[in-house]
Amino acid sequence: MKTPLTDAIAAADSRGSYLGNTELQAIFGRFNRANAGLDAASAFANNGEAWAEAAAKHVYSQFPYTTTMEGPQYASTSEGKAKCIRDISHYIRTISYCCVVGGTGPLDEYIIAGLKDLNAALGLSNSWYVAALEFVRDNHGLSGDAAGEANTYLNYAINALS
Amino acid sequence: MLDAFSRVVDQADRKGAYLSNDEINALAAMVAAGNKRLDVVNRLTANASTITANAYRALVAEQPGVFGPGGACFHHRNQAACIRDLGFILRYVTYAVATGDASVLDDRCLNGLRETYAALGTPGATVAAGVEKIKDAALAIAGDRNGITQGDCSSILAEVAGYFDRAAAAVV
Repeated sequence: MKTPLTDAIAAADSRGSYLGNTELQAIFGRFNRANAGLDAASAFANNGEAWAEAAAKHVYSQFPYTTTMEGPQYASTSEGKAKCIRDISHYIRTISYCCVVGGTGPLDEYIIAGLKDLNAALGLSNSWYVAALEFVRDNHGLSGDAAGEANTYLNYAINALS
Repeated sequence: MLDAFSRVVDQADRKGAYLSNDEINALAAMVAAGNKRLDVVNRLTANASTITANAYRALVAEQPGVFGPGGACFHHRNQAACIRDLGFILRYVTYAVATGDASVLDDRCLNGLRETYAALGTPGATVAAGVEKIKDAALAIAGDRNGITQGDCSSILAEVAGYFDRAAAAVV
């Protein structure tokens, strides 16, 4: 998985050399910033499920048709609502992983690869998920460096969906 | 290739779970001890040539038959390759120490190494003995208390030893 640490290793290995100053500086910087990401991941672990439920409600209010239209891709039934929360949880959980590794690797590998095709095949609208992630970004209540880490990856996912 | 962080993420994702408090605390402890890790990487990297050359000398003294006439590692071409390979293993161990995970060592160095040596007629037990000698030299240099901030490095040194043991076990 692509992370700041594996990137540094891959760069040195492609030259067949030991870690050089550039790579060591990158690794050192990553260790210095890691705590902010772990703080953010801790907040996600404690609140992620609640955030996903609140975000789903926000999507229903912003796109009321999602709760009235019939069909497996909508949330007019309790089953549909459960799937909606499950999918938003999946996004939020993967964003918490990005905070842990300090890079977009988890989002790239677990979410974004194949996303557009999947949503198109199932009749899901990217804009629902954008609204959900924007809601989390604007209401997570984090501050300082932890917020910076969380928002980096929330925005990355939002941008990929837009 | 995984690092210590993405290793935990990979395991959590298989369960569909957020990281537990224990997992986050373990990673935070690793971050807090990050300077020790990078000091070890620096020392091994800075002394890489010495470590491999000394390991090779000791290996030849211990197994003269392998490196002498009729041995699998006779002639300069083979002997230079032996030193080169010991350097490869040391280099991938420094990568593993830097990332805090053995996957780079496994994926890019050890997987298939036993079969490669078998095909080339290189005795795996001799390579394993060479790795043991790099390990001893590396631990002595990484654990040298002179000229460095004092502290308890038993944990990181045990981790380093584990990567060398993994390499030695992979070739016999």
